[in-house]
Amino acid sequence: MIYSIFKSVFGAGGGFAVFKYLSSRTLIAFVTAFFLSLIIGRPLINALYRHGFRSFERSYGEINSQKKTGTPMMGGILIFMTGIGSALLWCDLANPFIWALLASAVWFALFGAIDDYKKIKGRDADEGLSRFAKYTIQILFGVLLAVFVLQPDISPLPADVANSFQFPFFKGFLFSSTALTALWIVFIIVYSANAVNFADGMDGLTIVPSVFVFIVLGVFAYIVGNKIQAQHLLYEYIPGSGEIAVFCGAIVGAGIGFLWFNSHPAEVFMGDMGSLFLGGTMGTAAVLIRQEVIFIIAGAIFVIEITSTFVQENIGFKMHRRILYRAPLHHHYQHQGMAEAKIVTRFWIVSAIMAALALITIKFR
Amino acid sequence: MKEKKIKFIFTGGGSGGHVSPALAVAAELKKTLPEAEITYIGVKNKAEAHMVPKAGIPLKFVKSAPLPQGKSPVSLFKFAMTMFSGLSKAALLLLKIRPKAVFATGGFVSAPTVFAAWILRKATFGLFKTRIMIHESNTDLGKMNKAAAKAADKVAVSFSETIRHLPKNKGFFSGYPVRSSIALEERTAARRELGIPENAFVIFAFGGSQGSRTINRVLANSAKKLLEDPNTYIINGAGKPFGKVYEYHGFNDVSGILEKQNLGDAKKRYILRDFIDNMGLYYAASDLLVIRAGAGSIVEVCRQGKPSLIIPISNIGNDHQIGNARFIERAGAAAVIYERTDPLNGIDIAFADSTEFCKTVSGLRGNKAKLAEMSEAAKNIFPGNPAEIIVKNLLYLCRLGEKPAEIKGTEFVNDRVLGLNSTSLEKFLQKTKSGAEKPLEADEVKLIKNKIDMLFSSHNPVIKARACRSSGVLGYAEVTPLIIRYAADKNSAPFLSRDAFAALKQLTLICETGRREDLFNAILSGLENSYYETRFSAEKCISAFAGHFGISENERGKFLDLLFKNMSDHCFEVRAEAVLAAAQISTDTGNLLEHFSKLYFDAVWKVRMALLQAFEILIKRDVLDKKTAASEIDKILITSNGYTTEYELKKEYNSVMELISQEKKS
Repeated sequence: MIYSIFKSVFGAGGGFAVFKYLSSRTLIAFVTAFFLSLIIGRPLINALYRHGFRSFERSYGEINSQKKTGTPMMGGILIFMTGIGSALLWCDLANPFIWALLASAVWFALFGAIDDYKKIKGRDADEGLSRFAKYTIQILFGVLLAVFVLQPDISPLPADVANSFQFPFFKGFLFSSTALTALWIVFIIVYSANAVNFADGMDGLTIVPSVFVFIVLGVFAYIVGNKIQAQHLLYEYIPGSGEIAVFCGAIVGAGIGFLWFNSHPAEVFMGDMGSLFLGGTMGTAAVLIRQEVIFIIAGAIFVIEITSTFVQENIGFKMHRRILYRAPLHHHYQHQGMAEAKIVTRFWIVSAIMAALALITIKFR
Repeated sequence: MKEKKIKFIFTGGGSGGHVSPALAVAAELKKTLPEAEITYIGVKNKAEAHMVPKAGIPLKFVKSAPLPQGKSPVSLFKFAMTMFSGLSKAALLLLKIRPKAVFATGGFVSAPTVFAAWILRKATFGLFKTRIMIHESNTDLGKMNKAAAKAADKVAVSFSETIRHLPKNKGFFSGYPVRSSIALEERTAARRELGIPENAFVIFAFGGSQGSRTINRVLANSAKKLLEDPNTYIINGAGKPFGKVYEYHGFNDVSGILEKQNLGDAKKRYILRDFIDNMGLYYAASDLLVIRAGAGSIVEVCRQGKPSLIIPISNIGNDHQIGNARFIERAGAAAVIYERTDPLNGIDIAFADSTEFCKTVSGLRGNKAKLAEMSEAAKNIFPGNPAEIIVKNLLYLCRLGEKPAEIKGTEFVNDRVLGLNSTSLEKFLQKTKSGAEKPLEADEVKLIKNKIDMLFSSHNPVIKARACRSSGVLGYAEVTPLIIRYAADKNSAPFLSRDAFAALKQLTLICETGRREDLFNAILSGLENSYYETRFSAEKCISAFAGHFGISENERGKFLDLLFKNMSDHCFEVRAEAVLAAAQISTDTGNLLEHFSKLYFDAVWKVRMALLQAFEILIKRDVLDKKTAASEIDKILITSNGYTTEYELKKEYNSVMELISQEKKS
């Protein structure tokens, strides 16, 4: 918003140069979201608690979650308010990439909030939206996003970039196919929303890897949105996509602001609102810069969490046995007696290494 | 001028239980509003095709199907196509007839008409004005009826507790409408018509229009014994399937059993029918009714003022039949026999015990005063005239009558042991054990044991596993041989063998001495099971075994060999439990400590904790001196990566809340 105001007042070339550059706006967006979190965090958490948005024991809880009952839930609203607030202030609101990101943020935050609300009202973690409803919502958004990316009339991406696959360590396109790309986009959206959702189970376990992923996506958005950088590093140039970096900066700031309160022992949980919102926007950003594989590498923790759940619940249950001690993976370690803080720290280490690996791929091509 | 007809569409069926209330309401409607013209919409080859034309109501057919059980795309697609065809046809009929209202009694048969009426109304923004009323005959709404209730303007319910599950202001209590023709028959005339002597004792058994396997079989199997009394007559509406594809053919089944029974002359006194239309005649002629506990049956029978022997279907929809049956029993109008399975002897199809059946019937036969008492009680259970209430409400809905007064229905008392599924059953039993729930009464224990038997008879090993766990918590000693069989069988599903041992840990303590050998072998094989959870569950049984039976040198040696092997298992729980079990039974500490010493630096601290506990056990058992123990413990790594936290604020909160709740009580 502020960017647009300056642009209209001083014209594209003039005014404060500091608001013109992507890099400076990304930093400002980060700082804004972070401090906004510190300011509104405490009163917001208190309000959530006062209005009964508190967590409860999962009815089939295998782990000792009693200790956490009563913690304010739906803290996703904090990330949403500060992240999206800051993005609205510092992003170029005329940019179609930002429209798509804002749409995904509102879409997933809204349905996540409904899910949380139903759970809290029903006083049971199984009372939320049905699995069918969740998948429908995710697939629907995936389809809309695929249309947005692949329909030449409305797509902000160059047509040859939109429908082709890029892989790390390989220059250029591997192959192009509109149908496959559409399926791929839907898959990425469903995967990212669910994976982040499954990883949400311990204090700080979701937010830190999410922040790392957004940092990686922001760096990539900055590169592919900059003609010189993109050519220098042999990426396909996507005009206008640099704005995504500002958005990522805002979410990173909001995420770290959230961690301020969510760090062990947590004073607030993000709930499905937070995890769906983070997962949804993460996937959308990755799709918009066509770097889904980088996203998967950087978010390896999420892959592990969703795979372990799948193995345990789908394959294991068909064999009438447990394959891991418990699922998702963080409960597997918890079952062995490892302290929560330790598990979370180790997961952070792994996700930091994977994020670094994703960034290293920029140079190795 | 020609008198203007007011048109109605009635629908519902699939089984007789859905058609007869519709017909009862139709008759009442014609009586109140002579200009009413009723058309019935049903499905071919179902009960309505048989019953509706006999009532003199024109019948039209649409296609419909029940919700498919599985989730296979093929069956779902078939279902969707059938429903689409049914909906289109129903919509055409509705447009042609333009009825004032649609009255549906539920079941899949009514779905196309109800939804077509609803869609037409929505699509024309209210230009198509047909009202929709549904009658729900059971306590619980079926899946289709739940959806249909949303489309309906009003829902009449047979049991007042159903109203709670409906949207606000939609439900009203009516009761279950019974055909008025039934009430008219007279006992003496009826007996003359059936050729039964005036002073005979007549048992009339029927299990709905399609027959009930349990009732038919228990009756046919008891026939010889019951008919020994020359004054006893049995009438059996055995039922026959409507379509060509069926699961059970009642009439053929009973004929077959009777053939083998060799009844001789007494066979004349066993009146076997496949399908009974003029129920009133048979009701009037009978002294005792043997029935299922469907809402329709019990209401109909109680209205006749007849004593009944109820055999409820178990293990379906929330146990509502058992609930119904117990309700009538408490009111003093019926005796109840529960059907069960016998998993111990491999009988997985539910049956009623014929010895118990004979005993109950003979008891009632010889006690005329008791029968009279039951009759009197039956008459008073269901007040009001349901058909009349429904018609009044229907007319009010169509703006053709006054607003009828609301009627409060009979309240059922819910048994806490009913409606539990395999998971909630175990939780409930644990609560009774811990004191959070009141202790179980004898009849409740009987119901729960029946339930557990049913779960054991399931084909799903996960359900069987849960049955094992519940048996363990309840202390259901009779099934121990079955559980030992599951535990010892290496081909059992992993969850099943695991939970079998979990149950045995508790059942061992009440086990007969004769089972010692079986149990020992089961535990031995469990220690080597390929599934890790089974291995440690088996290990947990060892101390119970040793405590209950004592342990011989031979047994000790065999156990310890496998336990030492399990101490290098890849699963930490197996290692930990092996350590504890070995500490419980070992006498040779030298050998034991040698095996323990390999675990002093185990990666998982829970194993090392088990070691410390093991030392505690060894010291308490007096097989290890404290000095050696101390020097051994000194070698164990006691750094760990786990700890428990406490929120001091919550601790204080709990203590002050406890104080408050104490004062409340006093």
